[in-house]
Amino acid sequence: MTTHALLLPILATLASGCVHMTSISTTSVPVDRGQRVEAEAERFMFMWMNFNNDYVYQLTEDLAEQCPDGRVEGILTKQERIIYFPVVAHAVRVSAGGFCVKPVVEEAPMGPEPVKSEVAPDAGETGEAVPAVPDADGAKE
Amino acid sequence: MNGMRWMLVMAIGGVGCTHAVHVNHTSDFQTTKALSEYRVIDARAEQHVLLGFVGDTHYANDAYLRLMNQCEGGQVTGIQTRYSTSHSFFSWTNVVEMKGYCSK
Repeated sequence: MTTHALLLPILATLASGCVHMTSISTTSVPVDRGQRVEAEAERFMFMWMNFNNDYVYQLTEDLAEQCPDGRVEGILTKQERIIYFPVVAHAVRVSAGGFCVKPVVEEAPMGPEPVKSEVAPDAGETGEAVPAVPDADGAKE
Repeated sequence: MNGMRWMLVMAIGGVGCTHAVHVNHTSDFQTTKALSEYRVIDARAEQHVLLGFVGDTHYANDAYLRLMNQCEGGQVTGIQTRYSTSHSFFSWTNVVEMKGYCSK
């Protein structure tokens, strides 16, 4: 057996399980970082054969499901290329992680709002004379 | 044979001089005041790779965490993410650099 024939299986074994990043992106990070949400989509490829990329749509759906009443912010998205075994078995993994931010709901005051009185204050309180109000016939009191 | 020697000399001589930018991404801007009132923060993480043998990409998450941790209680917006590789002899260094604006 030649040296090359020995070297190739060794290199192939070493290269198995290698992960390389191919893309990265982020969105604005919120102040509220209390609830973390994460999702991942992976496509295994035999000899690099792949017929569609629709698996990535699952990623956004998974993130949205984890934050039904809020908004996902601060999303770090990574795309990685995984080598399970050189030439034969590969995969592409897309992962995204962010924070679920719930909208701030302003609490409504309990009970009906106090109504501002439109009636002129009583003369006794202010000390001013109450103007004469005409009655239905037009005669002043 | 002479050509091969030249190639080898060029390869060794060129080590450390080549850098490749793979991704340059800018996030959304969510500003509530003038950008000049924000604090500029940045973070960097590296990964040294020998002959391509590497098992994870956690260094990218590290860069992101370092950026966030510089802005506790504030919002980080307008994040520019740069992913590049600096080449060496039979090895290379992956670099993720992030720069953003902290509201606090």
